[in-house]
Amino acid sequence: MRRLVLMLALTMPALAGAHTPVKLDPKVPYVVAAPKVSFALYGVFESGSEHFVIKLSFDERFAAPVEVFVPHEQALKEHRPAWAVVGPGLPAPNEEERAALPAPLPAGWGAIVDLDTVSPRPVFYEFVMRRFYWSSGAMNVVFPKGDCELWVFSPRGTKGKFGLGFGVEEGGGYMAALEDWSFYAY
Amino acid sequence: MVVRLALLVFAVSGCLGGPVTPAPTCVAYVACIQALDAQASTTTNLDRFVAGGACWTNGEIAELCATGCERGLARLRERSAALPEACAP
Repeated sequence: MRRLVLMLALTMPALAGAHTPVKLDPKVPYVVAAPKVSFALYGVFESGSEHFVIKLSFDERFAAPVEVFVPHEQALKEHRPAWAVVGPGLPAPNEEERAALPAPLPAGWGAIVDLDTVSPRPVFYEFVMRRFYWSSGAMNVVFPKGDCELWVFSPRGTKGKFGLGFGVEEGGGYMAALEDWSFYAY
Repeated sequence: MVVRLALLVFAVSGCLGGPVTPAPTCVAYVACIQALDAQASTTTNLDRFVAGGACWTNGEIAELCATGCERGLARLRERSAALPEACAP
Protein backbone atom coordinates (compact mmCIF):
# COMPACT_ATOMS: atom_id res chain seq x y z
CA MET A 1 0.00 0.00 0.00
CA ARG A 2 2.79 2.40 0.91
CA ARG A 3 4.53 1.56 -2.34
CA LEU A 4 1.33 2.32 -4.24
CA VAL A 5 1.03 5.70 -2.55
CA LEU A 6 4.63 6.50 -3.43
CA MET A 7 4.17 5.40 -7.04
CA LEU A 8 1.04 7.52 -7.45
CA ALA A 9 2.71 10.47 -5.80
CA LEU A 10 5.63 10.23 -8.20
CA THR A 11 3.59 9.58 -11.31
CA MET A 12 0.44 11.71 -11.21
CA PRO A 13 2.02 15.18 -11.41
CA ALA A 14 4.31 13.97 -14.20
CA LEU A 15 1.47 12.82 -16.42
CA ALA A 16 0.01 16.31 -16.41
CA GLY A 17 2.66 17.38 -18.91
CA ALA A 18 2.62 14.40 -21.25
CA HIS A 19 2.19 14.23 -25.01
CA THR A 20 0.49 11.23 -26.66
CA PRO A 21 3.34 9.10 -28.10
CA VAL A 22 3.29 7.63 -31.63
CA LYS A 23 5.97 5.75 -33.63
CA LEU A 24 6.71 7.10 -37.14
CA ASP A 25 7.56 5.18 -40.31
CA PRO A 26 9.42 7.20 -42.97
CA LYS A 27 7.74 5.22 -45.75
CA VAL A 28 4.20 6.04 -44.62
CA PRO A 29 2.97 9.59 -43.97
CA TYR A 30 1.36 9.78 -40.56
CA VAL A 31 -2.06 11.43 -40.42
CA VAL A 32 -2.79 13.20 -37.14
CA ALA A 33 -6.44 12.57 -36.36
CA ALA A 34 -6.79 15.24 -33.66
CA PRO A 35 -4.22 17.95 -34.40
CA LYS A 36 -5.40 20.27 -31.62
CA VAL A 37 -4.27 17.76 -29.00
CA SER A 38 -0.59 17.56 -28.06
CA PHE A 39 1.40 14.64 -29.42
CA ALA A 40 4.96 13.30 -29.51
CA LEU A 41 5.94 11.41 -32.66
CA TYR A 42 9.02 9.23 -32.39
CA GLY A 43 11.19 7.95 -35.22
CA VAL A 44 14.69 6.82 -36.14
CA PHE A 45 16.95 8.10 -38.89
CA GLU A 46 18.52 4.81 -39.97
CA SER A 47 20.31 6.24 -43.03
CA GLY A 48 20.07 9.96 -42.35
CA SER A 49 18.34 10.59 -45.65
CA GLU A 50 14.79 9.78 -44.50
CA HIS A 51 12.02 12.33 -44.80
CA PHE A 52 9.23 11.87 -42.25
CA VAL A 53 5.87 13.36 -43.25
CA ILE A 54 3.05 14.15 -40.84
CA LYS A 55 -0.25 15.34 -42.28
CA LEU A 56 -2.53 17.70 -40.38
CA SER A 57 -5.78 19.49 -41.11
CA PHE A 58 -7.14 22.38 -39.05
CA ASP A 59 -10.63 23.85 -39.05
CA GLU A 60 -9.22 27.26 -38.08
CA ARG A 61 -5.87 29.05 -37.82
CA PHE A 62 -4.21 27.44 -34.81
CA ALA A 63 -1.10 28.53 -32.88
CA ALA A 64 1.00 25.89 -31.10
CA PRO A 65 4.62 25.17 -30.14
CA VAL A 66 6.70 22.67 -32.12
CA GLU A 67 10.08 21.17 -31.22
CA VAL A 68 12.30 18.26 -32.18
CA PHE A 69 14.15 16.40 -29.44
CA VAL A 70 16.89 13.78 -29.33
CA PRO A 71 18.06 11.45 -26.53
CA HIS A 72 20.74 13.17 -24.48
CA GLU A 73 23.50 10.71 -25.34
CA GLN A 74 27.06 11.52 -26.29
CA ALA A 75 26.72 9.51 -29.51
CA LEU A 76 23.92 11.83 -30.63
CA LYS A 77 25.71 15.06 -29.81
CA GLU A 78 25.84 16.09 -33.48
CA HIS A 79 22.42 14.62 -34.38
CA ARG A 80 20.19 17.67 -34.86
CA PRO A 81 17.11 16.87 -36.96
CA ALA A 82 15.18 19.79 -38.42
CA TRP A 83 11.45 20.34 -38.90
CA ALA A 84 9.30 22.32 -41.29
CA VAL A 85 5.62 23.15 -41.46
CA VAL A 86 4.73 23.26 -45.15
CA GLY A 87 1.47 24.18 -46.76
CA PRO A 88 -0.44 26.62 -48.90
CA GLY A 89 -0.42 30.24 -47.80
CA LEU A 90 2.66 29.95 -45.57
CA PRO A 91 5.57 32.38 -46.09
CA ALA A 92 8.42 31.52 -48.44
CA PRO A 93 11.47 30.04 -46.67
CA ASN A 94 14.82 31.80 -47.03
CA GLU A 95 17.48 30.35 -49.34
CA GLU A 96 19.30 28.39 -46.63
CA GLU A 97 16.04 26.80 -45.48
CA ARG A 98 14.87 26.06 -49.02
CA ALA A 99 18.20 24.36 -49.80
CA ALA A 100 17.94 22.22 -46.66
CA LEU A 101 14.41 20.97 -47.32
CA PRO A 102 14.31 17.27 -48.26
CA ALA A 103 11.88 17.82 -51.14
CA PRO A 104 10.81 20.71 -53.37
CA LEU A 105 7.84 22.69 -52.15
CA PRO A 106 4.67 22.12 -54.16
CA ALA A 107 3.54 25.14 -56.20
CA GLY A 108 1.88 27.75 -54.02
CA TRP A 109 3.20 26.24 -50.80
CA GLY A 110 5.43 28.00 -48.29
CA ALA A 111 7.29 26.76 -45.22
CA ILE A 112 8.18 27.66 -41.67
CA VAL A 113 11.48 25.89 -41.03
CA ASP A 114 13.59 25.33 -37.92
CA LEU A 115 17.03 23.96 -38.78
CA ASP A 116 17.81 23.29 -35.09
CA THR A 117 20.71 25.69 -34.73
CA VAL A 118 20.05 27.19 -31.28
CA SER A 119 23.26 27.47 -29.27
CA PRO A 120 23.85 26.40 -26.59
CA ARG A 121 21.63 23.45 -27.39
CA PRO A 122 18.65 23.36 -25.00
CA VAL A 123 18.20 20.33 -22.73
CA PHE A 124 15.04 19.27 -20.92
CA TYR A 125 13.90 16.48 -18.61
CA GLU A 126 10.87 14.51 -19.76
CA PHE A 127 8.84 13.43 -16.75
CA VAL A 128 7.02 10.39 -18.17
CA MET A 129 10.05 8.71 -19.74
CA ARG A 130 12.25 10.13 -16.99
CA ARG A 131 14.99 10.88 -19.49
CA PHE A 132 16.95 13.95 -20.59
CA TYR A 133 16.66 15.16 -24.18
CA TRP A 134 18.33 17.73 -26.36
CA SER A 135 15.77 20.04 -27.92
CA SER A 136 15.70 22.26 -30.97
CA GLY A 137 13.98 24.77 -28.68
CA ALA A 138 10.21 25.10 -28.98
CA MET A 139 8.93 27.60 -31.52
CA ASN A 140 5.32 28.69 -31.96
CA VAL A 141 3.79 28.31 -35.38
CA VAL A 142 0.43 29.59 -36.63
CA PHE A 143 -0.88 26.62 -38.60
CA PRO A 144 -3.09 27.64 -41.52
CA LYS A 145 -6.74 26.68 -41.79
CA GLY A 146 -6.99 23.57 -43.95
CA ASP A 147 -4.35 20.99 -44.85
CA CYS A 148 -0.63 21.25 -44.14
CA GLU A 149 2.28 18.94 -43.39
CA LEU A 150 5.05 18.68 -40.84
CA TRP A 151 8.33 17.37 -42.24
CA VAL A 152 11.18 16.04 -40.12
CA PHE A 153 14.54 15.54 -41.78
CA SER A 154 18.23 15.34 -40.99
CA PRO A 155 19.95 18.24 -42.80
CA ARG A 156 23.45 16.98 -41.98
CA GLY A 157 22.62 13.35 -42.73
CA THR A 158 23.11 12.24 -39.13
CA LYS A 159 21.49 9.06 -37.84
CA GLY A 160 19.63 8.25 -34.64
CA LYS A 161 16.41 8.56 -32.71
CA PHE A 162 14.31 11.69 -32.49
CA GLY A 163 10.94 12.87 -31.26
CA LEU A 164 8.71 15.61 -32.61
CA GLY A 165 6.72 17.38 -29.93
CA PHE A 166 3.65 19.36 -30.84
CA GLY A 167 0.97 21.28 -28.98
CA VAL A 168 -0.08 21.77 -25.39
CA GLU A 169 -3.57 20.40 -24.67
CA GLU A 170 -3.61 16.93 -23.16
CA GLY A 171 -4.62 13.96 -25.28
CA GLY A 172 -4.41 11.41 -22.46
CA GLY A 173 -2.71 8.73 -24.56
CA TYR A 174 0.63 8.77 -22.75
CA MET A 175 0.17 5.21 -21.44
CA ALA A 176 0.86 4.02 -25.02
CA ALA A 177 4.53 4.50 -24.18
CA LEU A 178 4.33 1.45 -21.93
CA GLU A 179 3.72 -0.76 -24.99
CA ASP A 180 7.27 -0.17 -26.23
CA TRP A 181 9.08 1.42 -23.34
CA SER A 182 12.61 0.72 -24.58
CA PHE A 183 11.87 2.50 -27.86
CA TYR A 184 10.24 5.58 -26.36
CA ALA A 185 12.47 5.87 -23.32
CA TYR A 186 15.75 5.08 -25.22
CA MET B 1 8.87 7.05 6.69
CA VAL B 2 7.91 6.04 3.14
CA VAL B 3 4.46 7.57 3.54
CA ARG B 4 5.96 10.84 4.81
CA LEU B 5 8.35 10.86 1.85
CA ALA B 6 5.47 10.21 -0.54
CA LEU B 7 3.45 13.06 0.97
CA LEU B 8 6.46 15.35 0.76
CA VAL B 9 7.08 14.48 -2.89
CA PHE B 10 3.40 14.91 -3.68
CA ALA B 11 3.28 18.27 -1.92
CA VAL B 12 6.38 19.55 -3.70
CA SER B 13 5.17 18.24 -7.06
CA GLY B 14 1.82 19.85 -6.47
CA CYS B 15 3.50 23.19 -5.84
CA LEU B 16 5.57 22.84 -8.98
CA GLY B 17 2.60 21.59 -10.93
CA GLY B 18 0.09 24.28 -9.99
CA PRO B 19 -1.23 27.04 -12.23
CA VAL B 20 1.31 29.69 -13.19
CA THR B 21 1.07 33.23 -14.50
CA PRO B 22 1.34 33.65 -18.29
CA ALA B 23 4.91 34.39 -19.39
CA PRO B 24 5.56 37.94 -20.65
CA THR B 25 6.80 36.44 -23.92
CA CYS B 26 3.37 34.87 -24.49
CA VAL B 27 1.51 38.06 -23.55
CA ALA B 28 3.57 39.79 -26.27
CA TYR B 29 3.11 36.91 -28.73
CA VAL B 30 -0.67 36.91 -28.32
CA ALA B 31 -0.84 40.70 -28.77
CA CYS B 32 1.22 40.44 -31.94
CA ILE B 33 -0.81 37.62 -33.50
CA GLN B 34 -4.05 39.39 -32.64
CA ALA B 35 -2.77 42.58 -34.29
CA LEU B 36 -1.75 40.61 -37.39
CA ASP B 37 -5.19 38.98 -37.42
CA ALA B 38 -6.83 42.40 -37.24
CA GLN B 39 -4.75 43.56 -40.24
CA ALA B 40 -5.60 40.50 -42.29
CA SER B 41 -9.20 40.07 -41.10
CA THR B 42 -8.39 36.59 -39.82
CA THR B 43 -8.78 34.86 -36.46
CA THR B 44 -6.22 32.59 -34.84
CA ASN B 45 -6.97 30.17 -32.02
CA LEU B 46 -4.62 31.31 -29.24
CA ASP B 47 -6.58 29.80 -26.33
CA ARG B 48 -3.67 27.90 -24.81
CA PHE B 49 -1.49 31.01 -24.48
CA VAL B 50 -3.90 33.36 -22.72
CA ALA B 51 -4.46 33.49 -18.94
CA GLY B 52 -6.17 30.31 -17.81
CA GLY B 53 -5.02 28.47 -20.96
CA ALA B 54 -3.41 25.04 -21.09
CA CYS B 55 0.08 26.56 -21.12
CA TRP B 56 -0.23 27.71 -17.53
CA THR B 57 -1.31 24.51 -15.78
CA ASN B 58 2.19 23.67 -14.53
CA GLY B 59 5.79 24.82 -14.71
CA GLU B 60 6.95 22.29 -17.29
CA ILE B 61 4.34 23.22 -19.90
CA ALA B 62 4.72 26.90 -19.05
CA GLU B 63 8.41 26.71 -19.91
CA LEU B 64 7.64 25.04 -23.23
CA CYS B 65 5.10 27.74 -24.11
CA ALA B 66 7.31 30.62 -22.95
CA THR B 67 10.14 29.41 -25.19
CA GLY B 68 7.74 28.81 -28.06
CA CYS B 69 6.34 32.33 -27.77
CA GLU B 70 9.79 33.90 -27.53
CA ARG B 71 11.11 32.10 -30.62
CA GLY B 72 7.87 32.48 -32.54
CA LEU B 73 7.85 36.22 -31.95
CA ALA B 74 11.56 36.54 -32.79
CA ARG B 75 10.98 34.78 -36.08
CA LEU B 76 8.08 37.06 -36.98
CA ARG B 77 10.26 40.09 -36.28
CA GLU B 78 13.12 38.71 -38.39
CA ARG B 79 11.02 37.72 -41.38
CA SER B 80 8.20 40.24 -41.61
CA ALA B 81 8.89 43.70 -43.00
CA ALA B 82 5.83 45.62 -41.88
CA LEU B 83 4.62 44.34 -38.53
CA PRO B 84 2.01 46.17 -36.47
CA GLU B 85 3.21 48.17 -33.50
CA ALA B 86 2.01 45.45 -31.12
CA CYS B 87 4.78 43.21 -32.48
CA ALA B 88 7.61 45.65 -31.75
CA PRO B 89 10.23 44.68 -29.13
